[in-house]
Parts: sequence; structure tokens; C-alpha cells
Amino acid sequence: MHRVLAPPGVATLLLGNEAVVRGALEAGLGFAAGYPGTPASEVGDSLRQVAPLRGVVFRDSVNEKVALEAAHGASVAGARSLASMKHLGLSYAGDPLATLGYVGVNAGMVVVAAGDPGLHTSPNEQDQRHLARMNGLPVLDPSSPDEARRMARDAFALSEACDLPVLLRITTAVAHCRAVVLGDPLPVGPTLRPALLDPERFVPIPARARRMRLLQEGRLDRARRWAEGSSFVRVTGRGRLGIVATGAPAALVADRIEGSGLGDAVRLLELGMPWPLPEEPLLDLLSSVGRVLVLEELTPFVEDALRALAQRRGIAVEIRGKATGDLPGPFGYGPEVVARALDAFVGGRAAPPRDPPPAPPLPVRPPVLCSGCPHRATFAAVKQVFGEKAAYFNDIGCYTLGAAAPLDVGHVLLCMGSSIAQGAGASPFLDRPAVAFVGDSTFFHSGMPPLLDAVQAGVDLLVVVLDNRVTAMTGFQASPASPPSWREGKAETSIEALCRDLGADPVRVVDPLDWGAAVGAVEELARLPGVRVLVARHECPVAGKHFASVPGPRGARPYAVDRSRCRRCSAAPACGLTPGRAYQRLRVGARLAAPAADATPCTSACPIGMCAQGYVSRAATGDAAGAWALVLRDNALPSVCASVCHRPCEDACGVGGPAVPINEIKGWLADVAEGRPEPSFSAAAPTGRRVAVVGAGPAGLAAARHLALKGHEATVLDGAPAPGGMLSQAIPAWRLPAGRFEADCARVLAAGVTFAGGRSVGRDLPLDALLAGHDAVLVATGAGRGRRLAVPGAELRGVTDALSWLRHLRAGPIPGGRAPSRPYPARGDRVVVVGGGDVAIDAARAALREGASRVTVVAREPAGRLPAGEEQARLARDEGAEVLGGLDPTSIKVQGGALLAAFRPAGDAGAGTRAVEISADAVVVAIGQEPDLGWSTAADPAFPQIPVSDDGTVRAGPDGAVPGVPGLWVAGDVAGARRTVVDAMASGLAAARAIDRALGGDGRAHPAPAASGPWDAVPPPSLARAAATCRACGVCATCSACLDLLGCPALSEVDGAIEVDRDLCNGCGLCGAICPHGALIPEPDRRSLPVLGPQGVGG
Amino acid sequence: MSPPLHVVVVGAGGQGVLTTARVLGDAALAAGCPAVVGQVHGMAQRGGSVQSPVVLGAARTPWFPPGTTDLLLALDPLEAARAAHACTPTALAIVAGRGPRLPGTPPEEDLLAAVRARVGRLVVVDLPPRARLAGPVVLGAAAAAGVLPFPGEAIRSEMVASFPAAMAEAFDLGWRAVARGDAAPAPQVGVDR
Repeated sequence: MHRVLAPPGVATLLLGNEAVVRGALEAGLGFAAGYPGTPASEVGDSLRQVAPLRGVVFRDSVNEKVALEAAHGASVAGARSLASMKHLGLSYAGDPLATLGYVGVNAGMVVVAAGDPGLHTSPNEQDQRHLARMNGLPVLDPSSPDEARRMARDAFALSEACDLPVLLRITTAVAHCRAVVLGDPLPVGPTLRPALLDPERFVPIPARARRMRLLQEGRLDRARRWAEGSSFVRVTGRGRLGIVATGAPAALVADRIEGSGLGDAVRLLELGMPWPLPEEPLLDLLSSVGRVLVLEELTPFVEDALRALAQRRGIAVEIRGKATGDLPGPFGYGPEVVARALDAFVGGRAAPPRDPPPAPPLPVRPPVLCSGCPHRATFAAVKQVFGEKAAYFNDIGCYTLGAAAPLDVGHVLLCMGSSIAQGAGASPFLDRPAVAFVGDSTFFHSGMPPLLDAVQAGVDLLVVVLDNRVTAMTGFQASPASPPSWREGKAETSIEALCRDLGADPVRVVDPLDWGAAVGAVEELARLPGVRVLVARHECPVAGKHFASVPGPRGARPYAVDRSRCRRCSAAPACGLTPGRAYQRLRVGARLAAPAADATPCTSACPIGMCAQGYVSRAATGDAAGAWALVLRDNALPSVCASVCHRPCEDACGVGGPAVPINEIKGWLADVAEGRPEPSFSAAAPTGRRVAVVGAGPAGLAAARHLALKGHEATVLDGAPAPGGMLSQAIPAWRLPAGRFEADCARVLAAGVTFAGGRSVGRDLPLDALLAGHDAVLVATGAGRGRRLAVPGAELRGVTDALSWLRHLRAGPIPGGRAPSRPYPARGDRVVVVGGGDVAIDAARAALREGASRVTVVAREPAGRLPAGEEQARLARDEGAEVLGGLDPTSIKVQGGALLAAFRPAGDAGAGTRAVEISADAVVVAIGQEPDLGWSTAADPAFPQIPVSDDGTVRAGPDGAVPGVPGLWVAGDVAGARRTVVDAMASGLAAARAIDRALGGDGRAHPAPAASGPWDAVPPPSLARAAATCRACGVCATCSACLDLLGCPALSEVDGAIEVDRDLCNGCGLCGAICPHGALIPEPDRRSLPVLGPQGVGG
Repeated sequence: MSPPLHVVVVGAGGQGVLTTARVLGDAALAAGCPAVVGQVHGMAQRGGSVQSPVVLGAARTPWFPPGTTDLLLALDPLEAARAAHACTPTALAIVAGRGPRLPGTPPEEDLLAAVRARVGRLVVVDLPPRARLAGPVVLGAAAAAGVLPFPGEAIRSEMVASFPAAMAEAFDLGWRAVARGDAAPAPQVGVDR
């Protein structure tokens, strides 16, 4: 049995709201209607349950105005009626309220309007007593649940006696307080009287209204006298100090006076009717004390009226309160406020307790949407489409919480039903689309007129109706959109049909938990003009449990984290990468599910192990400075690589789908870095060890930088006056633009490397002397000598070595190199290039640029598989060269003032080709390079022989140590490394680490530099989009998309890893839908315990 | 007549704080002890912090000044730490269960240490991992601790009358956790687990 119906005289703990219902039933209530709202909701909730048992007609009205009007209708028809709402609702019903004071009632009518001093659940703490005064209505203000019961009971008789509705204004502290209530007997059924269908009484045309106006004073006088004779104005104690207390603080001060033993010093008047003011008892008090303190919350309503009364009657007594600064103005009064005010008023005899130590700073629990709330999915879908580029108008309901982080949806909010009107008003002046959110209950409450208004006005507005099929925030009351099983079988009202009839077009309905459909629907409507409506409908999961007649097994299975896919590494990530929310949103829906790997394909494929995933992600999120620092950690020559690297990372990336343009991003970073401060490496402690690096090409420079960063003294020697080797001498300027190598080289030198140019080891300085003067020597002299063509005619005039020619094109012949004995290809020449590698392609493209009339590349390898790679071959073809494969040169002859180069099929590679003779004006030979071993010349004849392989490279150990020659290492092309820039650097680094170990170091990588940013640089949109396609294969991505984008309370981070709280998870699947890696999946099916009790029952 | 006992039930929204306070009040009343139950409204809804003061004994309001809480019943360690500063130095604090995890929350040991430092005695009851039954557990522990001004069995009767059997079992779990150890409410600094 509901506790509201406890037998009379049985002590029961009732909420103030429940006590109001008890009192109304004791008075023979016949009709009640209300709209929920904290702190009033329990009035309606209790009535809904007990009304059928008591023969009471109860309505869940769609809004407070309707509730008030319906209650008055019932009163006119002869039933004692009650309307309940929160204080905001009373203002909403302000129109009928104002005229009720004129037309009056038939059967007694009580309006319960619950106030919220302290704004715990409201946007304002309006003092409804003013509404009573303004409209000429009596108002009662209980200080305890039992007083609320008696007031509710007696108010009907009062209403009938003074022919006015009575306002019962209860506040949170009483409405939500449970105290002992001893009920009075309940009548058999409602108290009914004949209907009064009298136009003279109830149709206030102006002439009649004027007459009614003149009745107001009389009505209020009757109410005043009634109160004066009632138990609701109560005086206790005696003494020269007077206190007038009303509402919740009255009980507090009564307790305090008793607890401090001040009953003989203080005369307390507890005022249960603040309007009309019961003047006689108040005048009595004013005349018998020396000072009065008025204790009330919110405005000085009673205080001002009391001062006016005293002045009118010529009573000169000191009246203290808010106006005199004795009490605070705003908010509710807790026990400390009352205790302090009382103590001050009685001159320090009430001794409030000392303040306790301050509360420790602890994280605040913000209110959040429940786990599984469909509103979260709706907001996420809208955010996915609009991002920050929309103006969001929000409204009142659970969905108001969408304004909180991380959803952050809600720029403007005013009151129930305001979102559509505000959005429509703002729309013409905004530089972005307007989106208005409204719940199902709010839509029915007051959302339809503004929708019609917006359609009539022809504005552009997207209205999103968040239909969770219940009035959730106030405690799960059914709405007209609720399923029939929640509303005793009544059919639901179609929101979409209403919207269509009001003229919105189009109107779409979607399940927000179907992520793809939801995003698609928002995208479709986003692009259209006019008033569009999206009804996002999905039942509130908590309401489902609330309405279930028996507790059942939980519905959807909770979700869990698949650790093999989750990209949130529990160990500290190597680069500290934290993708920003914008980047996370870019990745949502990528659905590029692949198992998480410790080593990403891109990093594994890169010879120097660059963290491509790291710098791509940082660049994509706008952390260009951080990305550049990461690039420089691994790569000594990043600008060079951006131009000429053969990009094995992209080949590896491209296996699973379109490759991310990793190198292009690196190039963008190099451009952005130009002119900005460099990332700074921390200085290592000097080791005092001296290392000589012979050869200033990529291998040597990378090795030298590493050694310098590890604290060794690194000097790079080169026969040329400037560093670079092939990079600055042979690679054409149109492949490696001027300045790029120079920028990289400057960085290498800035790391502590010394360059000694014009020093040719072996010739100027014997190798053994160099070894003697250093703790280690690394030879990285490259393979810079073109192999000679061993066919008849190779020494004819017009046959040229490709490298020599390329060097000549870059900077003229180098001292000590082979002096050209013939002129190079000239403008207009027909050129044949023999060879299929990078040098051959560079020579072919150089020939075209030098004005050759025809260029033919002839390689031994099949044309589709040149060593230079498909892309290089394509570039040569696109620029106009002919590329032939599978052919070996046999001879070169002179014929008719030109050359004739003859070729035959080259073994298996030449299958399907025919022997061919090509006439040419110049033949450029690029059939491979070999190292120049001149550096190995030693002064001492007994110096060990350097072991050399057939192809002329040095035969050394895996880390480059030369067997038989302690202190000597080799790296790069001279050591037989693969002939690319980045492979040379890798070889140099491997040797440098080995040298570091040999010299007493730890052999580990040098530390990463500190970023110099932040820089204000974002990649161009197409590049950013391409970067966002990175599948984040490595666990070190520290992805936290689920945490950052959703804010679901069931998702949290425990020891660095993402966890789902399966007790909280309602299995909505939204996290699974947005996880870019498919790492959130429903738990395997298993039996689970029934979940008892609703989650998150609140105001 | 002994002064009224000041009790506060705390936890996160959705854990059953208000129900627990109501059961305590109903049980007291059934056993002849007047009770008043309140709600501290703040961020109570949808996962926010909830505090429900209960005065057991003659009082018109459930509100009492900070620093006078005699018994702290906490369904979450963070909320226990938040409310502990308002306890008397001889107060008894009982903690069981955990609310939703909040980023930036200090480790549980630190939170409980903060509570221990402020109150006279701390009892912590471990719950099975999937239990949503922290409320009955703390009531059982409070009943066994002998601090209530009415027989603790009255709470159990209330549970049995109004709730499924699992609730009464949870009450017994809390009871045993205290009755097993030292059940006297003498001020002690220590943790029972």
C-alpha cells in the first residue's frame, strides 16, 4: 500500500510532497493535474499511483498552463481540484493564474508550486509569493512535511471561504524532506458539489471583470482572518527579541532557539501564510518586542510588507533582515546561515558551532548523460557532421546535459520550448547553420507553436527532436510519445506527423543508436534549406527498467574492450602522442579494423625506423612543431629525404589500402620548419673520445650526428670543399632543390659535428695516421665511380660516364675526379643512356632538360622492373624518354658522323626482345658504381689489407667493423649497403651505434629533441584528410576517441588502459560504432544477475 | 534523552543513496525512533554527488551544521572523502562499493586514508565485483556496529518486507563484516576489511 494512504494516526515517514497529497486526499480531492519538475515531481508521482484507489481523476498534463486550466475547469464543475508544478511552471501558467484571482472558484482549488531556493535544478530561483500578491491570491508556505499536509488539507476550505484558488508554495527543503506525518482520516471519496456554470461568475468580459476587481480586497480579508485564526500562524517563546520566520527556515530557527535555550529571550512567530499578511498577530509581536528579525528565503517579501505595516500603524520598532544586511539575499538558508544570524541577533548568546576544517579539493562529479543514453548518440552524430560550425540551441530535459564536455552542444538555452524560437530568431543573422534541440516531452509541452512559427517565417533551421519516449529528468513520467505499455495501453502521439502537418519539410525519423543512419540523416538534412526536423527516437534504457513490471535480465549486452585492437597502450608511449579531439573525430567511422601491432608497418619498413605514425598524427592534429621534433629525432637529413627518398614506408602502408602520403607530409613539415626555431637536443656529457668520419655523404653525416649527440667529438672529412657527396654533387638540382641539403647539413653541424673539407684521406692523410689520431674511424666514402662499359667502342668520343656528367651539370668537374676526356651531350643531341638505375634515369631526365632531341634508356633489366623503380621510370617516360629493357650492350660504332649503339637480348631478362641498333649523338653510361678505395692507402707497408668483395665494396661485419683493422668501421655504399639515401643513413647509424658501444657508450639511440613550438601551422585540407587515413597500426597511438568524444560514465581509464564498467554499461553500442579500430565489442553472451532498481532516479 | 544521532548517507547518483536513507528512516520509525531524512541538492542528478542527511531522534529538520556528523555511510570512497571533513572526530565511517569512475580521482587508498584521518573509526567492506547492493551492506554494518539508537534488526525487517531477498543477504554481509571484528563503536583508528 502506498505510504500516502497509511491509516490515520500511524506515524509514517512522508516526503513533503507526499504529505501534500495526503492532505489533499483528506480534504476530499476530486481532480488533480500537473506537470513534473523538481522539486514538485513527487506530488504528481504519488497522485498517479493513489488516484485510481481514491476515485480521484488524475492527469499528467502536457504543460502547466493546461494543468491549471483543467483544475479550474474541475473546480467549476464542482470537484475539489489541485494543480501541481514547479515554480517555473507557475510562471508558464501566468495567464490563467492572473485571471483566476478575478473569476474565483466553485469547489476549492489549490495550486501547488514548488520553489527552488538555491537554484539546485532551475535556471532561476523566482519568489512565487510575488505572483500570489500580484494576482490577489493567498499563499501558504509550510515549514515541515506535516504542516504541508495540514495546509493542503485546510486550503480547500480556505479556497471556498474566500472564493479564490490558494497557492501552496512549498520549497525543496520541505518538499524533499522526509519526516514523521500522522495522517487524519480519509473520507470515503471525493467531496463534490453542484457545478456552477454561471457566466456572471466565470466569463470575465471587461464589464464583469471590473466588478470582480472590486471584490479582491474582500476576498483577501477573509483569507487574512482565516489565517489569523489558524494553526499556521504560531507564536512561541517570550522576551524582547522577536523573530518572524516563514517557510523552511522557520523550522531551522525553531530548532536552533530550542537547542540554544533561548526560549525565554526570543519570541518566535512562525508565519505560514506570507500573503495576505495576517496583520493582527504581527502587530501584536511588533508592539511587544524591541527588535524584530525577519527570516525568509529569496526576496524580502515579508520583511518589506512588515516594515510597511509598522509604518502604517505608527509602530517604531527596529526591523532587521535582508535589507539591513543581517541575512544574505540570494539562495536558500542552510543551518549555518540561520545559526549565525540568530547568534548575531541575540548578541552572541546562540554560539554557532565553529566552522569545520575546509573540505579537501576533490574532483567534482558533474551530472552526465547515463551510459547508453540515446541522446549521447544523437549529439555525437550532429557533432560529427557540424563540428564547431553550427549554432546550437538547447532546451530543458536530460538532453540539456549535452552542453557539458565533451559533447559541448549548447550555446544558448532559456526555458521550456525556447530552443526552436531562439534558433529561428537568430538564424537570419548567423554565419553558420542553426540547430535547435528539443525533447519529446518538451516538444509537446511548448515546442509546437514555435515550430509552426518558424515554418511561417520561412527561416532556415534544423530541429532535432530527441525522442527517448519519456520525461526522464524529472523521474521517468510517461509522455505522449511513450510506448503504450508504459501508458496503460494508450496509443502514442506521432511527433513526425505533427511536424509534417505544421509544415516542416523534410521530416526524418532515425534511431540514433544506428550510427551510420544517424550521421547520414544529419548529413542529408544539413544541406537543405527551410525548417527541417530530425526525430531521433530510441527508448531511454533506464526508463525501460523503471516501467518493467518485474525486474528482468539486463537488455543489451554490455561492451568490453578488445585489447588486441585497442590503440591505447598501457605503457608510457614513446613519443607522448595524444591525438586531439578534432583528429579523433576525423578518424571516427574509419572502421579500418586491423590488429594492433607493437611495430607499425611503416616504421618496420623504414631503414632508419622513423616513427611515421607519430609524426603523421601530430601533423594532422596541428602539432607541426611536435611532428618536426619527432622527424629530427630519427632523421639527420629530413629535407633531403622529403625530396629523394624511395619511400619504403609508403609501400608498406599501401599494402592494406591507399598509402598515406607520409613523405609529402614530411616535406610539408620541412617547409613549415624553415625560418622557425629548431628543436633543441639536450647536450650530452662530453666523453672525450674522438671519431673521424671519412666522407660527408648521407651515411657519414647521419653517423657523425649520432656520435656528436652521444657526446663524442665527431669530425667529418671529405676531399670536396663542401659536404654532401652525391647529394650535393651528383643528384640533379631539379630532384633535390637547392637549399634543402644545406638546411639539413646546417642542422647536423649544429648538433656538434665538425667538417674538414678538402682533406682527402689516403692521399692527403694516410689511413693509419688517421687511425692513430682518433679513437675510431668510420669510412663512408660511397661508391662514386661509374663502372666502365666493357664493350668495343666504349672509349669513343661521345661516350660519357653518367656520374661525371651529372656532377658537371651540378657544379663543374671536381678536383681529383676523372677529367672528362670528351665533350658531354649537347643541345639537340640524340642521347642513349645505358643502364636502368637511379643514375640512368637522372641522366635521361637531365638530357631532356639539356635539350636532347631524343632520349632512349636501355637497361638490361625488364622495362617494367628497373632498379630505379616504377615511379622513376614513369617520370622518365612522362617527360619524353623511351625506356627499353632486357637489352645488353654489345658494341658502339661510329656511323655517318654519329654513334651506333648495338644491343642484344640480355639472357632471361631479354626474352621477347630483339637485338637492336640505335644511332645517337651521345651515349651516357650508367651501368653501376663502385667505390673508390683510395682512402685505404696507408703509410706503413705492413698495414693490413682491407678485405674487398667482387663488386669493389668492403667486406665488413654486420655493424660495419672491418675485420683485422681495429678501430675501423665502414658504412654506406662503400660497405655494400643498398644504394639509397635512407639505406646509407641506416648503415651509418648502425656503425655509429657500434662505435659508441666500442667507446664505452650504451649503444642506444640518442634522446629526442624538445619541440620548439607550438607553431601556428595546419596542413592543407587535402593533406590533412590524407593524413587522417592513417590506420594507426601501432599501439603507441594512445587513441582515446571513446573517452574524448563521448563522455560516457561507463568508459574510464584505469592504469592507462580503457575499461568498460559492465555494471554501468547499457550496451547501446555507440562506443563500438565510433571506435576507429573496432576495439569495443559486445561481451560474449553469459548469464547475468537481474539489475535491481532504476539507475539515476533523480529530480 | 540522548541527543539525536546525525547520519549522512553519501554516494554517486544512481547508487541508491536516497533509498538507503529512506530505509534507515523507515526502520527507525518502525522501531519507535523518530527520524527526519533530507537531501542535499546539488549535482545530484545523473551521476552527480548525492548526500542525504538523516537525523535519528527528535528533530524538526534533517539539517545539522558541518562538523557534527556522527555516522557516515558511504557507497563510494570519493564521496566518503568529500563528506568526511564534516564528521566529528569520534564519528564512525562505513564505506562499501564504488560509484562510476571519475578521471582525476586520487587512488582509493589515499581517499580512505583521508577519511581515516578525520573520523574516529573507519570500516570498509569489500563487495563482490558485480554487486549493486552497497546500500544494504552499509546499513548492515551500521546495524552491527551498535551506534544506532534503535535495534539494528529493525532495518533487516524493513529490507525483508519491502525488497527482494538479495537485499537482505547484502545486509547480512555488512553485518558480518563488523560483527566478525570488533563491533564496539569505541573511537579507534583502523580499518576493518
